[in-house]
Amino acid sequence: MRYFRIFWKYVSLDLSSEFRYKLNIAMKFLSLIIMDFIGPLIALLIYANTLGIPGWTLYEFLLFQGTLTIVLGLGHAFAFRFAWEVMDMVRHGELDKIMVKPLKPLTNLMLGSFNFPGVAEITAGLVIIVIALSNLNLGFTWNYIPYIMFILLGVLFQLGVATLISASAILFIKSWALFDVWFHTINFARYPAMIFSLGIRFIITFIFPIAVASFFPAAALLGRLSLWETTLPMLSVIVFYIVTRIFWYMAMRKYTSAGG
Amino acid sequence: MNIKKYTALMRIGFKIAVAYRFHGIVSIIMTPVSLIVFYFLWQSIYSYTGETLIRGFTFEALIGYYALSMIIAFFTWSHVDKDIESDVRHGHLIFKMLQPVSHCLNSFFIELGIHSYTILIETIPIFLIGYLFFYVPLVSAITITLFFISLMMAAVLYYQFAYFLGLSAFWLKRIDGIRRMRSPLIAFLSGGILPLTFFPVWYTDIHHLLPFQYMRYVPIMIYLEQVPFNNVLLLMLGQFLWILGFAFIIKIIWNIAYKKFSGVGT
Repeated sequence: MRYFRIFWKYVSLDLSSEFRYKLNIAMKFLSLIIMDFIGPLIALLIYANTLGIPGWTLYEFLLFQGTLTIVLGLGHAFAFRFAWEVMDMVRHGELDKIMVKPLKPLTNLMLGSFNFPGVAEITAGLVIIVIALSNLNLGFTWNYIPYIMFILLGVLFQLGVATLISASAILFIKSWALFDVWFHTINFARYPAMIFSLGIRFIITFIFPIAVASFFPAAALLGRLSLWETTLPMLSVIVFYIVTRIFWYMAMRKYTSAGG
Repeated sequence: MNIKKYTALMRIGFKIAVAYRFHGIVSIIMTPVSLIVFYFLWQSIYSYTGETLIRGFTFEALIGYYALSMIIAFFTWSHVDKDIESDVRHGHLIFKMLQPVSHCLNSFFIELGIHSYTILIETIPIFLIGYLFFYVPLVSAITITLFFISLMMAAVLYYQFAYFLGLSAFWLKRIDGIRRMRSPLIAFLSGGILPLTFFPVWYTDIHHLLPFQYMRYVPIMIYLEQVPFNNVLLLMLGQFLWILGFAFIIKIIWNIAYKKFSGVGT
């Protein structure tokens, strides 16, 4: 309950600062939505000119893309902001301020990670999914349960990535490059994992489980996963998250207030 | 004309590029990683569709297309809209107006300095990676020369377009929405993510009239020798005319915008 109150405080702070420039926030919203429709447009063009990706019809692939947009949007709205902030804090030696607060530093940072523009991406993702689902006629299935679980795990995965980046910022001070690495790595989630070679598939499922952001939820909803194929990726995300937390605590022990 | 003030700005840009060289190394490493995704994607599409030629591209030519598209992306970028936004919001514009170089050329020569670092240090490794792994063909010296001229004009045009969008900061104050949309939208419309031959007919009909194809598609097609020589010159003339056109538009809008500026924040 206390966490929720703090979270809400952070949310309202973010909203009031965003709505200071009303025209800008409207433009930001609009531009994010336009950006998120570039992916589906490319899908339409690919499917208009070719038979498309093996094993995926156009609307199945749109479901895939919509899911990815929602997962990344949720990450954008709730997970990623604190990594940028930690980077700034480390550079200016301000991380100490977070450490003396009564809340655990990582908890505090994560609660303050709300970023309003992410809501635009979630909206765009929902629109794409609704378009896809209305053409797929899936009806009601129990597969929605693993689907939603995978989406939540996709957010947990991104919290892990943000923790990893923040921890490296503490250790190496400058780690913007890691954001570049992350933006490039997302590309591996943009298309169904089955197109890749076995080695890459193994890496994006078990080592750096980015496939939970799109492939696993979409495949689960379409009923293509066996029990093992559902549970093992879920476990690997949880393990990934725990490892990043351990890394964070190790980094915190090494922290020497730089900049100052 | 005193050229020294411009070379001084370029030296600043070069220094910035040297300071951020680690960033350059990361993008040289990570760009091929992104290309791997396109490689596997199109490999599966080509084998599933069962045709060797899709929209005028064989598989190898298409991968070469993507590699060149990413190489061009090393040169066509600009942060000038961010500079304008912060100059306007924080009032630093006043100090820039005291300099003997116009505001537009000021940032341009700094970014040109950064580009010259990219040309000197990064061009050879990225072309080598493209040649070895991603089917970028070896072409004649004439084609390479034409490609580089076209590439430089594409970079200028990209800069001008970013500057043109950035000028909206005089009215909107904060433009991070426009800024964030700029690069993916240009990448899409200029054929950076998918060749323009894949686009519907109505777009291929109008893209000759838009500036976007000159920012990426045209240099790639020149390198791949997909256009006859006469058309190459025509396309390069098109690039040049767009540059002149944008220079004119920017000048007019700048004059209107500068009247609005009040220097708040200094």
